[in-house]
Amino acid sequence: MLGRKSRIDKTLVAFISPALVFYLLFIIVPTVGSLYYSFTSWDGINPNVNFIGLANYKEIVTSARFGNALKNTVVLTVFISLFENAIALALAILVDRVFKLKNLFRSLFYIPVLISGIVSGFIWKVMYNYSFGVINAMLKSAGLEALMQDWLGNTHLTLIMIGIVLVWKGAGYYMIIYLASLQSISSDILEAAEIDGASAWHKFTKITLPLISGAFTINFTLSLINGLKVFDQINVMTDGGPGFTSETLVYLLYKVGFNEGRQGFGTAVGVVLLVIILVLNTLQQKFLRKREVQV
Amino acid sequence: MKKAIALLLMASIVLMSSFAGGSQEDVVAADSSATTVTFVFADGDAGAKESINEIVNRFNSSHEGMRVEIQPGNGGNYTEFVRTKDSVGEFPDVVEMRGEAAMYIRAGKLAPLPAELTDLFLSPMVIDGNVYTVALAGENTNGIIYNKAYFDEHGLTEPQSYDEFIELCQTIEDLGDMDPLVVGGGDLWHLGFLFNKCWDDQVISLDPDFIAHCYSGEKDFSDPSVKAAIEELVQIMAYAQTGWASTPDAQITTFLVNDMAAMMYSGTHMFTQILSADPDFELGWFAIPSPDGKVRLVGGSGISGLAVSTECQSDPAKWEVAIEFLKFFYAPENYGIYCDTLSAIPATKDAPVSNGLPVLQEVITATGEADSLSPMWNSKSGINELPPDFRNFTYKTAVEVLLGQRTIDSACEELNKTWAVAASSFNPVTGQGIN
Amino acid sequence: MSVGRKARTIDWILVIVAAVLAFIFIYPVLFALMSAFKSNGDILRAPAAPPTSFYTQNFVDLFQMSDFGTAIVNTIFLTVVSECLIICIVPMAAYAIERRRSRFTGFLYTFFIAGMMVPFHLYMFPLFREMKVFGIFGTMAGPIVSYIAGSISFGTLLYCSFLKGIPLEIEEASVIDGCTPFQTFWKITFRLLGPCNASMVILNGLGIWNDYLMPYLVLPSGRAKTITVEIAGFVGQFTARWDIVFAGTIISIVPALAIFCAFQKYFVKGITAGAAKG
Repeated sequence: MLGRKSRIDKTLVAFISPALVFYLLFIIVPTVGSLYYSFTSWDGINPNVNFIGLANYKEIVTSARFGNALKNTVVLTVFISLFENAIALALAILVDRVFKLKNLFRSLFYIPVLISGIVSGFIWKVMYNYSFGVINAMLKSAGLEALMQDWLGNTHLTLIMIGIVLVWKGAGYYMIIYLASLQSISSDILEAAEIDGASAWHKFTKITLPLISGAFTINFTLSLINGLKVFDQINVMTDGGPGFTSETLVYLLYKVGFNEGRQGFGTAVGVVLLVIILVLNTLQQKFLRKREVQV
Repeated sequence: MKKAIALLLMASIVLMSSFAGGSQEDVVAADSSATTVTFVFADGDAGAKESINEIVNRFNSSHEGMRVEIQPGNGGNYTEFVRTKDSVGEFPDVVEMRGEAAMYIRAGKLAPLPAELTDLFLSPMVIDGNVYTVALAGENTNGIIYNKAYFDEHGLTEPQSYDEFIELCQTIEDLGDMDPLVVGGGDLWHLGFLFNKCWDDQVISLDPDFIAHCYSGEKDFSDPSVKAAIEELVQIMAYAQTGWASTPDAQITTFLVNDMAAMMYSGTHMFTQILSADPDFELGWFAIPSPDGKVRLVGGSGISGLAVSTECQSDPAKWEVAIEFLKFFYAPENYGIYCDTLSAIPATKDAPVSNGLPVLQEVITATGEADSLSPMWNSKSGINELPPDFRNFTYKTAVEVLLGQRTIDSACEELNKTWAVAASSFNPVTGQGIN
Repeated sequence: MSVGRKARTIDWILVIVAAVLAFIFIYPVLFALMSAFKSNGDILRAPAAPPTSFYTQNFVDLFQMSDFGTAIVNTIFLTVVSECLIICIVPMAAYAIERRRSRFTGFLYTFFIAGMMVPFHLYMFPLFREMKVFGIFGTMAGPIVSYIAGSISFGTLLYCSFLKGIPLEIEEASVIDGCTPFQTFWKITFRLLGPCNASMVILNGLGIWNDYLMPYLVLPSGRAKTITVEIAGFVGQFTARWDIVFAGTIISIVPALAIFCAFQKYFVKGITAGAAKG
């Protein structure tokens, strides 16, 4: 419908080329450019770059530090994806159902999204602090001193605590998408079901959930990708610690590559991470798309 | 249609380039006749930032035709900041180097400094016969900084041996008013102060070239001395406050001045910080003796300090400004500002007169009387230089032991594994990885 | 809830539940707000207590100790210019992909979306070096081109699904009227993209407004950079001025919140038709 065949291509080129040029130049070219370094022992500074073949990748396979970072990444990502979506959906249903102040509630739940990753890390770091933090202060004044924790220093809790910050910051975003999806369900269908005597639970599982499956797909996709790429909060709150407790793959790539003088190895970690994201995402798309109902 | 797109792109490019131009304009406009050198330093500390700014201003106003332009690192990620500058070819003319100095020297980015400058210093670090960095201050001498009022109140005295120190910690713990020791373990480099003490006590005391012997394969990290060092660390850290693992260095002053902890183990830069948080705080200082009775202190000059780039060296006019500036910087009347603000121990022979903090004088005396005075284990060069990522790995592994995630034996094993990988691409003993 | 029905107890319970949850969600922001009006010592000593007086020294210090005004201007400039260019470039590409379906555009769609998955730290240094080659490192243009490139992935996703909901008939009519595809797009389709543009600007603009690493490393050193970078500057290696950090935080949230509230309806509409359908 854009015209004759010969013109179509020109039009297509004209429409697409600005975006394609930016995308190629500032994402694809540097990404491909960095691939080379994953085959070197480059320290990031020296003008002499030694090619070492697959040595970095071999090291990854045996490296306990990489294994630990992979495990942390999986834990954090699963935690974030599940809770972000569960809480976002609950909030969306709630905001959809309240009969007053709908816009106010929607805005309030969305406010954490507006804060920068770095700053949200600062705020929670201060709140989590063992000696001066507001959480322990509240527990203390409530007489619950037994529950006081070194929230970011307790190795069993650190990752979860970081996860909570991310869920808090992200839930509002996914809520908006669920909410939009919920509101696009025509009330006729639900009313018809009500007339047929369907219970509330039945309506929810048999009508609402299938109809918002599109939102599910996009939200799980986005939260998965964002979970795998978390950086700011870790950087600000724990710097990957204590020990290696909160070191994720992105953080490992950053730390080893830029801070500890092993750019080659860091890049190889990044490449592996990219492959993991691509594979997971493809699998997830296949799985979720299958369950989706076209609206 | 194509025209419109082209116009759009053109417009955006013009818009951008106008800003691109804008940012360079005022650099040139500042003083077009002067030879300008750029100067980058880590301004993680407000005091350091202010005092260095002051010295630079003095230089610029007293040296016609010469100009030093500061490009602050804005605190935060200084290492990445310098790396970025380097990777885009904007490596500064005069630059503060920290632990990564050796890498830059190997990469040929730093120029050997002339004798007229290096002769000003007590013990500049020599690498292959050249001096590449001049220390901003003597290596930060660590020791116990304590609450003197509290010590006096309870009749506590400075320990004369390592065992007495542990007893002292136990006494304070038993008193129950406050934690014996505050540790900012959230910052690895802070934990490094204590680690280095244990390392010196147990490892370096037996073999000053332990790291070199690891490179040559004669020793490894399963050595009893390494285990002893970690054991000592565990013993001392038992007296640290709850929450040490997440406490940043920036917060430990608060513990001390609010009577939440009696002691901290840190460098002299803390004196000014503590006094600015509480001007009435009574500072006390002592060195923790080693278990063998000797006193080993961190001191002298390490590899970190100010350096000049080789690129600057290739331009004689700039080189002259850079060297002139450094000589000016370390002249007693200017350098004194820096040392006073940071309670730093001067690194120059013609040392500026100190502002008279008695406790600093005590430290300087102690460094003079110490049985050994050496840089931090990660600030050494030559055959004892650590592989690039080894320091942090060691500290993190030590934290794992302290938090009960790992036994000392498995920590040593991990260190061995990482060492093997690291030393295969960097080994100053065999020359591997050093061009 | 259907209009006209009387509020039942369950409705009030829901409001109360929502209010409690909203309080929990908003508490960290309230904490930052309260702390912005307390001294550093008070933040640490009595973290839960509200400020005892209207203490504004933090804001004074913020502007005195850093060139925060310039940082605000820079942040606005970066966000506005990037978003304007993004709105010019991305919808056009999405339009072509969506309306001219072929194996090539199908590939392009996947290719663009895949960009979302590349971790920034992987290509950061090569990107900086490239910027240097183009002469835009150390200028505002550096982050801007990178933001544009970074917006294409999510933008394609958003606009393509939104365009699915715009009936073809309108466009076909304009083609019959003799409009070129370019005119059709800008005069007809683009005007219908309003809600989608609002979503794009709010979602993507926020990322630019709050970005840290890129402006920190790319913008010229020696002068103020962006709001987030200046705020982060107060958490140094040796000292952390939380009081000033929180003052800066409050200032950085206000414009974002204002824009969100102003375009809320529009924004949600854009999401409904766009992202919600995936």
